[in-house]
Amino acid sequence: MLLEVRSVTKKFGGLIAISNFSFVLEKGIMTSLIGPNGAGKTTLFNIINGIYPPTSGSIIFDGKDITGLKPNKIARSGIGRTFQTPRLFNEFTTLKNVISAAIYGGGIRDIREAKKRGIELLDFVGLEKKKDVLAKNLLATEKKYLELARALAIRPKLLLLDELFAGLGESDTSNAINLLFKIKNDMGITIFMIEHNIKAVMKISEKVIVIHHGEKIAEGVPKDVAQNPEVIKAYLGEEYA
Amino acid sequence: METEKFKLKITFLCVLLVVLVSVPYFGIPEYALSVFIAVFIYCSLCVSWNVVGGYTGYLSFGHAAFFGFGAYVSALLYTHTGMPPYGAILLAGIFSSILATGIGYPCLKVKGPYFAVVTFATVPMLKIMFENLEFTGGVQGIFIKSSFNTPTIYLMTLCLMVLSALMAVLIEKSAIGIGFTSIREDEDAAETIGINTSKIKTLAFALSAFFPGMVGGVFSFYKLYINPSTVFSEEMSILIVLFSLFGGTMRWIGPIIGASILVTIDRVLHIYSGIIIDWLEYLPYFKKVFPYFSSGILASVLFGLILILVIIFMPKGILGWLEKIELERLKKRTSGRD
Repeated sequence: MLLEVRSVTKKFGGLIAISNFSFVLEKGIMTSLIGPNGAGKTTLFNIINGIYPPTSGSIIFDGKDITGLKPNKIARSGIGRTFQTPRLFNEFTTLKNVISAAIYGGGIRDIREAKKRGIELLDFVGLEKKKDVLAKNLLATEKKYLELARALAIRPKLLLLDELFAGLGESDTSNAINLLFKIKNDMGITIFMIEHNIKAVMKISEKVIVIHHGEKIAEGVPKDVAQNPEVIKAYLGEEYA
Repeated sequence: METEKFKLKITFLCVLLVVLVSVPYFGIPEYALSVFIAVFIYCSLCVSWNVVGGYTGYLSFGHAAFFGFGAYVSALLYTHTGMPPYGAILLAGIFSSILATGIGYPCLKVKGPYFAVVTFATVPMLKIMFENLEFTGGVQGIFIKSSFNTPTIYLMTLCLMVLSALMAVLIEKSAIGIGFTSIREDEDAAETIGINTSKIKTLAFALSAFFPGMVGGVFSFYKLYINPSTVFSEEMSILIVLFSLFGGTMRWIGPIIGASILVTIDRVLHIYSGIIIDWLEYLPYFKKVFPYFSSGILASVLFGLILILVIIFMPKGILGWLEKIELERLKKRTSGRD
């Protein structure tokens, strides 16, 4: 068991964004979090990652209680993440973006070492030719890959991917899927992703968690979840269930 | 090609340094030396300010607080404990950094305009505190009995400018610099890659206060008399920001260029203010509309104008502007090749 979320609740004033949410991520099982817009997917990521401390409940990662820790501590304990719209260091070169993560999150103190690691990772995501380009000048898809490389540079055990496939074309999507399998199999990193691309979800996830109005409505292997009446109701409305 | 450019740059800087060091031996008049001293003081203030204002992007509007605090620390240590001046000046820097750690930790929790406002408050706060303290001489201030001549002060301020620039260069080249600038780029993203932003920001703030404290320390030995209203000046806080923004905050050279140009303009205006005001008084009604016009007002008006023009036309300062020209030149060259 890599991550355990125990009855987490998050309130923003009177609004309950996440309500009594519990689940477990097993090591090496590719898990997806799906749900309609505004269901609370990104909020849940922000809670795991430490950006929002939960109102109640606790989060256990790798045997340690990480509830309420600052994001930088959680990152260094081994949780990397990407954002829905990439949040890069725009005035940095592509390489420097990865170097910064290798130094601080990856614990590589020597800049030359960090550079080597950075080039390796850029090579891995296919951006090595763009290493001296400013991040702001990259294409939208390249930005997604760069953010992935930067998240990998902290040597995570768990990687939270917030809609990696959004906005990617057909060929890019299959390319990204290949990358994810490599991350999982070769690097031994567990992946937990938010995804709207249902085709991709069904193809690669081993487990799916469905969230609606901040509550967990289903959990299981993709095939079962797709037939769950609760899920169909949440996505398509009452009459289709 | 790159290394050649680098060598050229280093040679140029060394030659410039040798020239600057030898300036006092040319028998230059005292007033001209004082212009240089003012330039060096503002250069070290601005290049230090840039560590927090430029690299981490937190615009501190209170850096004169560290200058004033340093001035008081060195003056008090020297007059009360009989500490040698150089020791007193060094401790002024160290105490300023400690003060900055105390101020920075809570202030750096807020961003943007809020940070600007809370830091702006530190100068009047310290001013009022020092006005009401017994052992600092209250409103009367302190006299410092010392006899550094102007050339020595010149060399001391020059030395501080070089050291503060060196610190900025080292920061830019190191991992710490990457940490600082990542905060400017995106603080939340910096956290997610394991950067302890509140620690790093406080470190930047403490480092940025060290040389201002030492410069303040030298200032006490230069003016030989300090009081709260001369060393704690909100105007100075604003000028530091203005000069740095004018030069460009992306790299260490920007604040130095900005401070050098604008301080020189300010001093020259002071020298020729009589003539300029004589001209202005030929304008009809000028004397009636501005009965108390002085060189100080003239400089303020000019700086205000420069600030507006810089924000509109060169939002990234002189450095950004030069970079843009360079980029366009490169573009032209490559398009010509096609």
